[in-house]
Amino acid sequence: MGCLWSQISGNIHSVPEGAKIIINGQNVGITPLENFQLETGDQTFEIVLEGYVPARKLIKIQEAKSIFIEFRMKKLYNIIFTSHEADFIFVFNKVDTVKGEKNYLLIEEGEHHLEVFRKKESLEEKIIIIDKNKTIKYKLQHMQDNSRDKLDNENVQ
Amino acid sequence: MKKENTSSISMEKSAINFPYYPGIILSFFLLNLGGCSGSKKFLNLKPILLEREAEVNIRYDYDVIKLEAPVIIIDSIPTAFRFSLYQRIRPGELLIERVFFPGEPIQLILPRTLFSSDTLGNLAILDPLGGNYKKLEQLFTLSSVQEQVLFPFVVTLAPYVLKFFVLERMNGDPVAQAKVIVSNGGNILGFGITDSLGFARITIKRVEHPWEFLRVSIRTGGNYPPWSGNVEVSDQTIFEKTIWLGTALAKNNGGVFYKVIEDLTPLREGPENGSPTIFFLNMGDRVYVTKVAGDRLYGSVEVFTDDPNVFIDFSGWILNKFVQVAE
Repeated sequence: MGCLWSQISGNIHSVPEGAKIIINGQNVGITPLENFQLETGDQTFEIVLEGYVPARKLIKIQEAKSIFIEFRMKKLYNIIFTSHEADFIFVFNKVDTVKGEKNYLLIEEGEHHLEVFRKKESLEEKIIIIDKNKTIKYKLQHMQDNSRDKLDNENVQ
Repeated sequence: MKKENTSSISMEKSAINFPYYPGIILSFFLLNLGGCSGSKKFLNLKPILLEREAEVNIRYDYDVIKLEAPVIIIDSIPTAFRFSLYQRIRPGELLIERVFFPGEPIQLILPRTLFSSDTLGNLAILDPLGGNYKKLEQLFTLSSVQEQVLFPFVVTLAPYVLKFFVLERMNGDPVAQAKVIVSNGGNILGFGITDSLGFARITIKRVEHPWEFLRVSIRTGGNYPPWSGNVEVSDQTIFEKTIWLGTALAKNNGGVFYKVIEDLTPLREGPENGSPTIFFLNMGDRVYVTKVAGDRLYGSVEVFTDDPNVFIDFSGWILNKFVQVAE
């Protein structure tokens, strides 16, 4: 018995372009991909681009003449995160933990929830906005965004 | 010969220049090492993510078909038309329904994937609104072209459906093979013949201005007297009536029922020749005979009045050649 799934014409794009497209575990090309034959039904898409958060999405492809799919990638920024207090523990989005006076972090663009602990005591909660490569110097009660000096010296890319 | 201490000269020269070169070279390496180590620090890090759903924009381009349903109006113009589409195998799942007004073309542009690809796999229903109109249905096969025109829907008023039960008055038995005629103003509108249960169904085309009543006549080929009466019709589509034939005279005097076998049979006041005629009987009339004198019979006859439920009994004499015993 042969496969009963039909196919439709697919146009797969990403913002920015140049991302690798993997469909159901198979590498199919680089965006933009035009007039690519997609099977109808559930298909798992993975989009990978250096410097961006990999995207993964299950899409149920319907019967139609054609389909246009556009993935909007989220940028990853290089952040140097410093603190004068060596015993502070920083928890990002209640998931990722960072310790020490100086950390090199790769963070997704957007608003992140930061909670600061000393031992097990919660000292502060803040929202930090990540929108470029920069150095963040944390001080209790307020934070400094010291991007220019450190950025040049460290050659953060 | 004086030898120059070239080596010492060159050393001196070198001594002059040497401090600069190492400085430059050292700085170059330090700079690059520092830079390299800075960018390398971000390699192979596990990123801190917001765990958001991937932002995806999806748009489908459907192949469409333009469906058109022409309408031919025979009687009056409806107020509106309700047009519905279904797949034949899923009559309970409405695909689309829209209301159109007279003068507006019934056209829809729909995705082809909405329909069934089976032969006669789709159903179009046109329901004219604003009156007693017949609901119209049409099965169709989806065409492969971009535009499809269905067969015209012929819009007519829903007919009257008249149902009659014809029964014998005396015992309630059904009267089969009775011809039921429906007329108005002398024009026969429809007729039917009762079945073994005494049932007849007659469909009459409805007109824009309905009649107030219809004239119903029943003929039984002489088995019963002919029956006629008016029935009221209104906006209702289905109408039912039970009609009783025959006499209600009770057989309580030891008499016998005879039926008249000739039209215009005289019923006379007395048995003698030349006796005055009370009136003439029709073929099928029932005579309840209680006395026999030779070829003359004496009995009672029921006479219908204008009200089919009101009878008058008359008694008189009749010649036996005009009657036979009723079964």
